[in-house]
Amino acid sequence: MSAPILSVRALERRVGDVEILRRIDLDVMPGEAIGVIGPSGSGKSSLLRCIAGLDEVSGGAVMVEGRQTRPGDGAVGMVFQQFNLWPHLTARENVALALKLVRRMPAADAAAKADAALARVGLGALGGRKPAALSGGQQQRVAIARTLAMEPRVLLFDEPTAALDPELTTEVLDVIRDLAAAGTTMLVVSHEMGFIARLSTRVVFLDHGVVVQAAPPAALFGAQAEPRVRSFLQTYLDRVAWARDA
Amino acid sequence: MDFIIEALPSMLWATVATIWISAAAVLIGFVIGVPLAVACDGGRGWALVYVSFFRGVPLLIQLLLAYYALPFIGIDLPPLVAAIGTLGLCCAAYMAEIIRGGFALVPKGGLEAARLLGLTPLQTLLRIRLPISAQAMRPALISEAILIVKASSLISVVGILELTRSAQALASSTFEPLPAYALCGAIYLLINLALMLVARGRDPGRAA
Ligand SMILES: Nc1ncnc2c1ncn2[C@@H]1O[C@H](COP(=O)(O)OP(=O)(O)OP(=O)(O)O)[C@@H](O)[C@H]1O
Ligand SMILES: [Mg+2]
Repeated sequence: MSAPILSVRALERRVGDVEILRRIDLDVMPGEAIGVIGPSGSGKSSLLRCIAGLDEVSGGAVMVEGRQTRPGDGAVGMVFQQFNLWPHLTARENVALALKLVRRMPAADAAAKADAALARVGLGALGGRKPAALSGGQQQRVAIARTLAMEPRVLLFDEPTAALDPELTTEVLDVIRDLAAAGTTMLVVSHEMGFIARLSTRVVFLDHGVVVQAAPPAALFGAQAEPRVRSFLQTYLDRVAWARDA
Repeated sequence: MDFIIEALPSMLWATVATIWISAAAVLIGFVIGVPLAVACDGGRGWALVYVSFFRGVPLLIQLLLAYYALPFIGIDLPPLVAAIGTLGLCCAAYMAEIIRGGFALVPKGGLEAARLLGLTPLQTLLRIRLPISAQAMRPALISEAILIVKASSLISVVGILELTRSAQALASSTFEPLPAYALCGAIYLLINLALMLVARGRDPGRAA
């Protein structure tokens, strides 16, 4: 059995008196796609931000390939709900900037690698556009390309389609699905339950900063769901059903 | 006519002096203003003291302090250097405030993305924060440059031969103060009109 690529050990995060994450343990094997679900405020974003090193942890450790991570060390890449592209740069420049400044690639090589990354997310022709001239789905795909180009060991997605119109979510979800199929190790926070069920090797359900259940989707979305998970999913189904009737 | 012929050479030189002194002060102001803005945002005490001093003490007093106090504590600078330095340091305090305002407009997410991708804080400052906020800061920075052009008239008190000082000399040598000061004022106005044009020229609202 191979070693986990990512291990989260007894991870805790407190801000003042508020316990946001409580002793989270999670081992992720290379090539796994972990879906992270749970109610609003349960700590999903906090978990991803702690793994990325953007939020300070109060206890425990995050290791990638046995080494403690630091933001910017290239181990972890993250895609945000709000894309977080740099508006003054074209799509190609957004992707190429870190290649030039961090990887010290010559400008021409960086641009070529940026174009390859953009092509991989289906945006080969739009490298010259600034973010403002791209749709939300296209912007999010540029953000994915920007992260991919740096070849992180683990990719984190925090509600990558939550800021998108429904008809634009598919193009982004398709890209994430392709990456997972190509063996990218990833954690995905999303409220798109159908997508999570089909994508994930395992699903983690968080509530109040605690992992309530971590199981393959067939178990977690099926008969073996914990009561708290079941009631959350029921609420979710009710909402979808209501939306269909409306 | 005679007045113009007598005035022209000295006022021309004085105009050049005012322009390059102001430009140097503005440049110093920006180069110091950027790290000062970062330090103020980081809550550094010295930066807050710096900004309070230069914004709270009249520039004229600052110039006189630099002129009289620096030699007293053993720092012997040519008056021109002391004057430009004081003007630049004072400009930095105001520019730091403008730059902080610009930085506040940069979305935090873009900075987090830069940090995760491995950009250093300096690279993030130069390649992300400054360019993103540049358009928003431009009008205020140019207003500050205009203030500096006008404030540079104060360095005449420490004997620097710039526009105001030259106009004073011209007024007493020709016994014609009114045309001398009118010419002087018109030249300041022209310099600042040019700056205002620069400020409006690439207004983002009107850009192609
Ligand atoms: N800096 C902070 N200071 C205090 N509380 C915080 C801070 N950041 C997050 N929280 C709290 O921590 C809890 C978890 O927040 P988090 O954003 O991780 O939830 P989430 O599961 O991502 O929710 P959502 O589905 O709404 O995005 C929330 O109760 C939130 O109010
Ligand atoms: Mg969240």
